[in-house]
Amino acid sequence: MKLQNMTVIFSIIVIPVTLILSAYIGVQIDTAHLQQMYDTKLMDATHDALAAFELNTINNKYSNNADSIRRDVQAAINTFSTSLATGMGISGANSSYIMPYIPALVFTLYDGYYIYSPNEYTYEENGVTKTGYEHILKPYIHYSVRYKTALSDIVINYSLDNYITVYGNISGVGYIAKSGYLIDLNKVVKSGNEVTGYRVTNTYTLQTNIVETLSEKNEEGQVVTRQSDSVKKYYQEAYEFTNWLLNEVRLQDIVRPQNAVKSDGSKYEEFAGDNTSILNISSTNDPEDRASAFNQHKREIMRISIQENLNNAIKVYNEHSPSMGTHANFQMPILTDLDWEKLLTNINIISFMEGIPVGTKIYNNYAIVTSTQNKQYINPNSIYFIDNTNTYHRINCPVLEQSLNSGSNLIGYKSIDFRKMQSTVNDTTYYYKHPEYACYTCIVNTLDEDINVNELSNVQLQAYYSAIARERYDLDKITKMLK
Amino acid sequence: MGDTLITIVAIFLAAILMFIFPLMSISDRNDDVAQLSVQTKTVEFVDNIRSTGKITQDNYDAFIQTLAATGNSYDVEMEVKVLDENPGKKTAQTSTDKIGENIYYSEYTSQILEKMNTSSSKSVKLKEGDLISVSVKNTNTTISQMLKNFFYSISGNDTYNITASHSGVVMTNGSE
Repeated sequence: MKLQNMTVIFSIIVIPVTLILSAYIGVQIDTAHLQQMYDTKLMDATHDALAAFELNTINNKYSNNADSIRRDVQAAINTFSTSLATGMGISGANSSYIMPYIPALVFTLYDGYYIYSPNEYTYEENGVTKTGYEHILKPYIHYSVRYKTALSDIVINYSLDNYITVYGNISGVGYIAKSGYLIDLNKVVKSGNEVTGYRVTNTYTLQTNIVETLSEKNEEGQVVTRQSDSVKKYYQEAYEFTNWLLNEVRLQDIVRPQNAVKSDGSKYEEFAGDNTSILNISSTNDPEDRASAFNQHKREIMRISIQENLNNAIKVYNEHSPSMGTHANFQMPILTDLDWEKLLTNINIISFMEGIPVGTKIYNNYAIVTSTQNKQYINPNSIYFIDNTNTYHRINCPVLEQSLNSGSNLIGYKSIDFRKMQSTVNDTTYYYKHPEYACYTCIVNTLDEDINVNELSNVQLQAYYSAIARERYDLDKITKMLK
Repeated sequence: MGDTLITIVAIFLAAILMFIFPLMSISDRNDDVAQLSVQTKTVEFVDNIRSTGKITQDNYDAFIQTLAATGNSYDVEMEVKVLDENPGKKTAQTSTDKIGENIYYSEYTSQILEKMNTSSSKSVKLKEGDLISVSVKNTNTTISQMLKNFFYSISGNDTYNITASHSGVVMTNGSE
């Protein structure tokens, strides 16, 4: 055969292969790009929802009330769908167009969470009953678990921090309903029955019987001061509650992981044979210690609760997605350990998106965005302290440290108190509760070091722990009345 | 005589069709794949910073390593725009009905890396509202670039063809 012929044959074989290969790779690249674009859009939309949630709750005095917060959550969901539609280039499309691709939205809050997902609705029109599926905001679900033995039946609501609510029936004791903060009693210093101090570190004892003078500006720009003994109340009530709990030997005996039951009465396989006494608070089971048995069990309960309810919501979505106009078998993505870490330590929004065709595949992913500016939960890292130069700092700021002496009166407030507030009387105006400026070393330019309590001076420790105690005590909780 | 000429032309044609074309095409695809991988990793890196509020040494090193795994060398540029609300606060306080304006100031790659190395937590923390942008481009000459330069005689040092960038607003406070 001539060389020319061989060349022609070779070219006929090789050129189509190369062309098809490059076209294929091109499609794959487009798919990956599109997928990434959707990932970013989903994350942005979730962040917008969170920003709306933060803005609304900060300006809503009653946002810790379950009914009032539903309104804020619903507003955040509207923001989410609008933002997602805009991000995907179909701005103006109403939410019924985009929402069928959203199997669920989850708002994890201080002591429970909301799930927004499709559910069945029924209504009657002209005598004809109509049913269908649409997204609804389901009732608030607490991080709660039921412990059941032959004669006793107890439910415990957990929260992101050391606050719990206990209610139910203990055989021989009767019906109980109590709530409070758990603290390590070995660290309590008291005279008589009154708590006067708490050993926050090995070398420093926090003075708890103090009255703080707090000041903030109101809408009209006037400085309002008030006296607060919340620190004292926090430790006194936490002491009494923990003490009561430790004396209820039968309650201690019931609250063990192996006695935990699901809503249908069956036991959790995860906890089989685990008979640790969760509420036996001691220096080895300190509720403030992340590794304690109490915290481990609490996190496990929260995780199982979210997982189960989310699975249910997604099952409903899968079965009925055709009636909403999409048809896909949604596989719930597995959340990583890092994701759970975020979910169980802060307020978050998780959003799932599924069913949109991307190139050769179907899109399926989720986004988690953490909120750090809210008044639903007091994070020990988000308390700012005002110095005497009209500036506010983090507790471990080197600039703050230099300005302090042993007699300094340092007071901390939760970080959202430093944000701009809106006030509408006749006209909408904006004001700051604390008009001080942010420190350039630690707040504008976030300080890279973590807080290490062993490096703080006594003045700093006193201010830091009293601010945490006060803000925690002042946080509105529905179960606060169950003392 | 005519035959010889045709044979020579045919050999040239054959060489181009049999070697150069497939080689160029494959090296082009190779760059496409590198481009895809670089783009994906850049978006992942930036989105991770946005959702955690931190640039950690671990994540940065992993990012640089995955980039290097494509067989090229890259120039990574980072920029953080730090949100400063103080000027806005000053304006807002002079008249209560005015919303102040915020300003941003920038920090660049070398400053960020220096902060990362000197901090005890081996990370740079950002706050909600800061902006982060990362851009990556290759610094070596890839085979595809070499061939193109040879055949199309494109020259110059700054002709790079693997490039990726991503940016966005930081969503959470890194210190919490």
